[in-house]
Amino acid sequence: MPVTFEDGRATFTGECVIEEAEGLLAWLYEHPEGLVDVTACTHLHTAILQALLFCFPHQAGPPQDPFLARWLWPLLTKSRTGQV
Amino acid sequence: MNELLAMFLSEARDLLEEVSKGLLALEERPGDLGVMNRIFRAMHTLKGSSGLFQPQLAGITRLSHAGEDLLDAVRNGHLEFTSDMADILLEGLDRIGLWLEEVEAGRFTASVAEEPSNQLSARLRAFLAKGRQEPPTDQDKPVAPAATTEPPAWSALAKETRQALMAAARQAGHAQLHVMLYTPEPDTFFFGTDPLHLVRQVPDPLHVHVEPVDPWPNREDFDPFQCRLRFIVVVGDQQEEVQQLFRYVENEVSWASVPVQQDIAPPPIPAAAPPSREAFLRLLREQLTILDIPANADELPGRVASMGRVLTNAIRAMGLHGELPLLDKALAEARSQHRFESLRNCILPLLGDSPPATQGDAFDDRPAEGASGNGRAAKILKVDQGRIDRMMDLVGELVVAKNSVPFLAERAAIHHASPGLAQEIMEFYSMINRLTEDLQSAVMQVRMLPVSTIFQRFPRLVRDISRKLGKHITLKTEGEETEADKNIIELLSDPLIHLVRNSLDHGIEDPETRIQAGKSEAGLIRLSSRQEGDRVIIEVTDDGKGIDPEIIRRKAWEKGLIDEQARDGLTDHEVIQLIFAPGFSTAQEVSDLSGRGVGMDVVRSTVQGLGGDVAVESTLGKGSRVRLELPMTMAISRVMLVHEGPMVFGIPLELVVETVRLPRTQIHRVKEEETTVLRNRLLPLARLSDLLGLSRVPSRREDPENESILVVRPFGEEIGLVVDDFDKGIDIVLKPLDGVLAGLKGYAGGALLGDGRVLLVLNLKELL
Repeated sequence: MPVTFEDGRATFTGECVIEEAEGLLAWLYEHPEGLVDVTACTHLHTAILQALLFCFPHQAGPPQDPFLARWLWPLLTKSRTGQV
Repeated sequence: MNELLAMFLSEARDLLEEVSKGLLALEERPGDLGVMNRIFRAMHTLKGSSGLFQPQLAGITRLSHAGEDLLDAVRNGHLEFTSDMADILLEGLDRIGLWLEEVEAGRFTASVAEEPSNQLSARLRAFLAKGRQEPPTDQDKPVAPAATTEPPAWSALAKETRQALMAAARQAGHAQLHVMLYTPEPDTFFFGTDPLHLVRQVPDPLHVHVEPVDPWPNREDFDPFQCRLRFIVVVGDQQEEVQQLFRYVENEVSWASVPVQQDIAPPPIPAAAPPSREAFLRLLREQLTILDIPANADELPGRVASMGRVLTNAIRAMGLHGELPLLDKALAEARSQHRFESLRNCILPLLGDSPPATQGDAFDDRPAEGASGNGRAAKILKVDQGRIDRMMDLVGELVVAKNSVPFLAERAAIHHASPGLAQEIMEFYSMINRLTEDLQSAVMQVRMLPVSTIFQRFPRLVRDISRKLGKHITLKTEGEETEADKNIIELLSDPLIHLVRNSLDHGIEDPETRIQAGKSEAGLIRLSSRQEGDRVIIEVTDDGKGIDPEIIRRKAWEKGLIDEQARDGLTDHEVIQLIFAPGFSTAQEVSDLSGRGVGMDVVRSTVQGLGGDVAVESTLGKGSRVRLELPMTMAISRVMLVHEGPMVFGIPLELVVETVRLPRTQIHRVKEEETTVLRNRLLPLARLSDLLGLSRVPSRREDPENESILVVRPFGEEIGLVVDDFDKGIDIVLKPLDGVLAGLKGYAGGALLGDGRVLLVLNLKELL
């Protein structure tokens, strides 16, 4: 399902496909303090993951999907060095 | 076929050509980094572009991918470039070329390419497997035990993670952990691959880590559709299963094993291995080369920023922090003043005593121009041939149209009593005339092609055939930029191939014979071209065994081509020209050039048909030279076809003022002469049938009412030529009649029509 943007919050639902990447990136650039909500996300395309790792936005909460929760959640939230 | 595919086909052909040429060049100069980079990039582009057309062109993508990987290994110095590699690469290129043709003809199916592309890819990758240091990703081979230094993928994991994994592995009783590093290609998304999805399918991984391959760039440089992530997956004993899962991207995946330490204490983690000095030097050299590439003002900041990041990171990685202040200063200077000297001076000492960047390291291998390519880069347009032909047609019609203008001037002067106007019209005409002639000559120029168009296929031809025959032959070409009309160039192709093959097959001797004769082991074939006046001279020279005049003498006599007097009387030089005589080449000479019999006689007749001539010189034991002399431009004339009875003739269009059909009643006969009145002027008439002495045959047009009259001005005054019918105007190559026909009056020459008929073109001045 497409990512919905409302009130400074980007909500992912179900599977998020590569076509969403560009729109998401543009939104993230415009809303540096925006909140990303992946709790209802079941899968995201690598390009989406990449955009999230690049912009490193605030996260609303861990995804319910077990794979994403176990392996990607730490990456989406741990502090990183090296970002330009 | 859609436009995108058409563009791809055109681009792909150029890329194949480039790789082909590059491979041959690389065989001669294996260390040439410039050529190496060029063909790698071409192969890479071919892989990427074909990737847009999946699944139809999957075979092409797979094969070019294998080629790219092989070339990458060679250019990184992991593998040495050998002729065997070149053979298979060239074979692969040929295959892809064939498939492209099929695609264009609409006959291509992906299944056809499946098997051959798999086989050829496997053969190409076999070179890689032999030379690779790391464990191969071949599924059947067991993964080699880890070397004493830890695999980089393992070291990329956080310390706590590694410790935890080790502990868990110990508890579970695993002997080793298998670490998979999956680095998808940057353009993997375009192939429809979602790497994360693939990784998700690994059953119960012990650990999954995702990280960017390089430090993140600036926003402007971040392209969400380029994959910059890599994945590290640790598994216990399901390695084979996972390898199966990743079989379609096996070249993006590498495996390493980490033995599970049985000690309580965690194993010491060695410092990360320093990056190879080799890679560092190569990086520096490439930056130097980039400095030489011309850029316009708005590209410069980006370039400086990117170079700055690359150099800073590289220097830091090598631990050369002391260089950083100098680099920063140089970068600032480059940024603000667009001066790159300090930057260059920063890089050069770091290269130390590594071999200096030679011309070969430059990206651009054009020897004639300086490395900075000062503006001589030729701008080339690809134009559809039909459009050029259409332009020629229009110019021809313009030529005819302008011919009416002097007539108008006369009418102004005489009928309308305006000599002033007549004068102005004639001035206008002379300008139009000049412009039209210039235009005609300009369009002719567009049709000029360089002979390199035909020369360029020869290096490959010579290489393949000499390898097949077991001879060593070098090909040298000179004067490829010499130009001639495209018709001439195209028609010369087959004869030249025949001549070169002759030298290859019969001229150059095999190595042992050559050495015994005191010659160099490798034979030389030289293709040269130059312009002399308005002629183009092309020569095919070899230093082979030459032609034996005595053998020719006897053969010619045996075949009845010459009589005894000639046999004994002709000089050696005259005798060897007989090789061009029809009937000299035996039927046994099987030609494998598309099955057509191309003998020396066809070579001569083709060249003569173009208005040129061919001759041969030879010294027994030393070599031979075949010399072709051709006109630079074809004498193309435009003629109007006219029918007289069943016959068709051509009339030079520049003499034709107009065509008109008049009722018979308007033709007046006074004794022997016929006249008519056209626009209040008396027009003397002449019948073509009378002029040519043809009997009057009923008109083709079956129009008893009207006569067809061609108004012509061979001497400046108008005459009406009565014919049976007019037809269209066409372009022909006028060739003078020779032999018995040369003495005939009234004919300007003949021409070969597209359907094979011969058209006689009339010389009106002589007829009227």
